[in-house]
Amino acid sequence: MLKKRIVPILLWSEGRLVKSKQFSELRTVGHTVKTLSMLSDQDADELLILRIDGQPISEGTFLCEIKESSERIQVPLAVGGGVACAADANLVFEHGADKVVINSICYRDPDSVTDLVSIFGGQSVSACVDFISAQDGYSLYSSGKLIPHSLTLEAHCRNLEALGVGEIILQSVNRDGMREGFDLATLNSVLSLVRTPIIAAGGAGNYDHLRQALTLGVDAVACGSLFVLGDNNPVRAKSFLRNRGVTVRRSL
Amino acid sequence: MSSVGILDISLSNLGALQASFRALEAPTILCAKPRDLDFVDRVVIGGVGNFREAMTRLDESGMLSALRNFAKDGKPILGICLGMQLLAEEGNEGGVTEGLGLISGSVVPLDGHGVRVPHVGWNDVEFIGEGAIFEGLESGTDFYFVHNYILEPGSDSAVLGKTTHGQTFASVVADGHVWGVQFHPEKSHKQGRAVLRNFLELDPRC
Repeated sequence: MLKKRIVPILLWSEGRLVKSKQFSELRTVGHTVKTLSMLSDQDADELLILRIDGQPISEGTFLCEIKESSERIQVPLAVGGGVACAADANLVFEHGADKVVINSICYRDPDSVTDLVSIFGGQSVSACVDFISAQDGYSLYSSGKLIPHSLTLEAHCRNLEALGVGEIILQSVNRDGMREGFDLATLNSVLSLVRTPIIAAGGAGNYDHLRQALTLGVDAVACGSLFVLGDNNPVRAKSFLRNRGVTVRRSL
Repeated sequence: MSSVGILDISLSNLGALQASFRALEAPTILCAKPRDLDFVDRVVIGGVGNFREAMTRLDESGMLSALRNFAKDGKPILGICLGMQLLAEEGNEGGVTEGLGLISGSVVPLDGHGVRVPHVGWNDVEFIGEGAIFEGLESGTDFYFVHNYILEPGSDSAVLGKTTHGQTFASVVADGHVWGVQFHPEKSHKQGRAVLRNFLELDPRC
């Protein structure tokens, strides 16, 4: 049977590998190639890196670092941030990525999402959905802006499923970098809504947070601060989860 | 160590495969035309993509008959993912298409009973019998899969590994020195690298 995945999530901004809190307060956390290789060696099941400086994906050294990393790591790599069209996605794949992560074009240009899915296959396209929860519901957030309220989180996830993306990375902006656990209620409601695999993101602070989300039914958990700011690693995370009955990949 | 040929029909990124062999200190040569095969003693057919498109490119480049002759000479071939499927006699993706015919059987869509297709992620492979390619690995080891289609072998004797996702399918096949794996060893961490190392160590003379 398919195994639950531990997916370190790394952020890249203006030449630096960073970690955010609620999408701001960027702290430098290491060297891109070294950090990705280390996490691969520490048995991550997949790696996820997003460019968050708002520049086009082809600008600067980002893709060079992706290429160098992809040749060092031994697990699949998902790359996103600033992917606006099929040509951008193609560049990302040419630099060694296995999946491309899209976000703002899902709102702005659903037709190009259809293009990406038909050209590269849904399994190679992941959609990242950033949401802010408030008392009166959710706001969707993309490229530093709130999306008009007429589009709900639920409707957006249903659209993504209909567009055929391979998975949805559901990321809580409020919980980003706070290390207080995932937004389980929201994960639960989206899980009951779509059959597309869900990766929970935003809030992982300890291994039990991972267990909570995985037992709820998500396919994977994305972990940022947990691995880049603490004395934790995927090997230990998986030992913890295996001891508690979560089916994770065995390492050699 | 001998040189490994990596079939290059410009369908997919070969960087990860090249990097894996580099880590194993095995020199690789990209093989795009029949003459390139003269310089290698084993070949990997990697990649993702569409069956029909891949066969068309093999045919146009002359590699279709060159690879059949390579196999006839008893030199090891490893097909990965789509590369494994191309080893079959026939494919059904993009219309019925003749395959390399090095493994008996045909390629059909994965019938996911109540599970998601494509089959993407880490899944276990149950080893059947003795396979040189599993040397040092335990049955039930997890590998990384990404596929929609499966190779349905003509005979059970070709099946050396099975995986279940909705249905149980052949995830490892072999006939003589021709091997196929449905998963991606180049993305499957240490266990994947062990498979590639075992492939490098296959002795074509016996």
